[in-house]
Amino acid sequence: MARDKVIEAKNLKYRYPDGTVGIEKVDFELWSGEKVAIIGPNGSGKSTLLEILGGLIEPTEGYVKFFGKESIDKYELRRRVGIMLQNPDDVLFNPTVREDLEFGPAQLQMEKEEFNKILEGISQLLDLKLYLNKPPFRLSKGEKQKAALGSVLALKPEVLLLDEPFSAVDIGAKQSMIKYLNRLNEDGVTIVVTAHDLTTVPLLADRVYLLNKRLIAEGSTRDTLTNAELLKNNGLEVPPLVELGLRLGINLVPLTVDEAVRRLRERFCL
Amino acid sequence: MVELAGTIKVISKLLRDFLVAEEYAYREGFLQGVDQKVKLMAILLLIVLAVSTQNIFFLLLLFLFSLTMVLLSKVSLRMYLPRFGFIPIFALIIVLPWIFLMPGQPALTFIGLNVTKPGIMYVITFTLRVTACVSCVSLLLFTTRVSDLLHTLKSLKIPSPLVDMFGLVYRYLFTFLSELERMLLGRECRVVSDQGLLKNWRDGGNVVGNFLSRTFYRSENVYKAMRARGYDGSFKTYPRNDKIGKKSIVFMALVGIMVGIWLVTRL
Repeated sequence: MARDKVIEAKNLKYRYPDGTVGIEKVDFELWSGEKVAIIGPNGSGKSTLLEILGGLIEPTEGYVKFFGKESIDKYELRRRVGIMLQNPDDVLFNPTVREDLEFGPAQLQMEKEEFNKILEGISQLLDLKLYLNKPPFRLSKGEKQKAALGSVLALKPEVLLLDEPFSAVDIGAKQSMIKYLNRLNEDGVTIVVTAHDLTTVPLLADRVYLLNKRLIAEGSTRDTLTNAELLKNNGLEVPPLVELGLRLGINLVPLTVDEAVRRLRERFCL
Repeated sequence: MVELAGTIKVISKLLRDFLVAEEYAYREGFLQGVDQKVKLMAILLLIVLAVSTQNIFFLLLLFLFSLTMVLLSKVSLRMYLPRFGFIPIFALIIVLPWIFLMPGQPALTFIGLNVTKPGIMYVITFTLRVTACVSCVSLLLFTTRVSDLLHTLKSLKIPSPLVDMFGLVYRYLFTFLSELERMLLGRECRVVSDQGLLKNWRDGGNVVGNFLSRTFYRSENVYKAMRARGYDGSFKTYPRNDKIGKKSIVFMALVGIMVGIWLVTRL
């Protein structure tokens, strides 16, 4: 099936008002239905790149094309590209979680009936029903992160840009969020996540961009995450399963626990 | 600095408690089911009645009316009364000297000063009027979502920039208070002895300066998050109740009775 190019960015550079360079010489391409991760150490420019890709900030140099168009109406962009910022406290500023979830759809004048259906689905899937009428500051960081994700999903975007979405959620919530995001992707939603903890990347991305102010590497998740030297040289921790696989000399280095069990059984005839 | 931190914490707690009250606006109570415009106009009318009467009986009745509405709206009195209780007490303290100052027939003598009958009546009337008014306003705030209130104000043709500004201030206020609280908490964790007045004031200046730059940074991020969800400079909200149903009609009838009683007391 032919895929459309959703985002195309060339030679991006972003300089902060104080003169610090956030990113430079970054090219980025995203095709519909893809799951892509942007990885890199703290301060490598992941969030800056994501904000450029979400149309929230303009690059100092270079350009971004959305859906193959030279220019795009800002409302069309908001409707089609959802971005979740890293700090959920920035996203949740309304008196209640429910109002935060309805903020985006109301701005884009979505029909209330349609929004109510979406709200029902999101609050069930993200386990938010109990918190809907609570003020966001009463939630734990993990709950806030789920609510922030919900507030972006409420717009039913075609492309979802998530900045470190699992940084504060517990293991159970993380697993259910990953499951949910994969299901969304199966339904056609294109997903981009940023991460510095690489353990979740294989569960959610097929392709990876390694960023360290500049674009260091781009390739399949397997090729990038099994290149221990590349990761270490760029301040990233090699995932423990990859480290184990490399040390044991397993041919196809495992990226997930299921894969590791299979490979170890094959290798040691267990 | 310690006093400043304490004051900020108290203000922050009060405001946050007020936010928690928004949970009541989602309950399936009587006033929550009343059309927002009807509710706003009726409560404004009740306030006008309260400020334009000197009849103690009517003011007491109005206060009891508001308490009944509170109960019918499934709002706990234990939550409701402490929220505004300090305002009538404050009003009483302010107006209390008038029991001596108001000219008229002395009712009793207190430490050589005459307490006059008109003075007592004025203090009671004033305090009851404040109590009834604040209770009515609290009733509105406890049973209405702020976004509904904004929507209603706009539909009543209140200038949009004014309503949006109110909405922004309301939303940002809590964000900034939480920022300030975090800063003060961070400082408190590392202060191990009394720093002295001069050092405390210097620290206070640093906190204020730092707070300013942090709030600026924070407001930029909140604004980004708003833009990411389609904000274009004007708040749009979903109205909750746009139909005048049975509850609205009953409420209008009850307010009508109150107007009738007010008219009778004026005769």
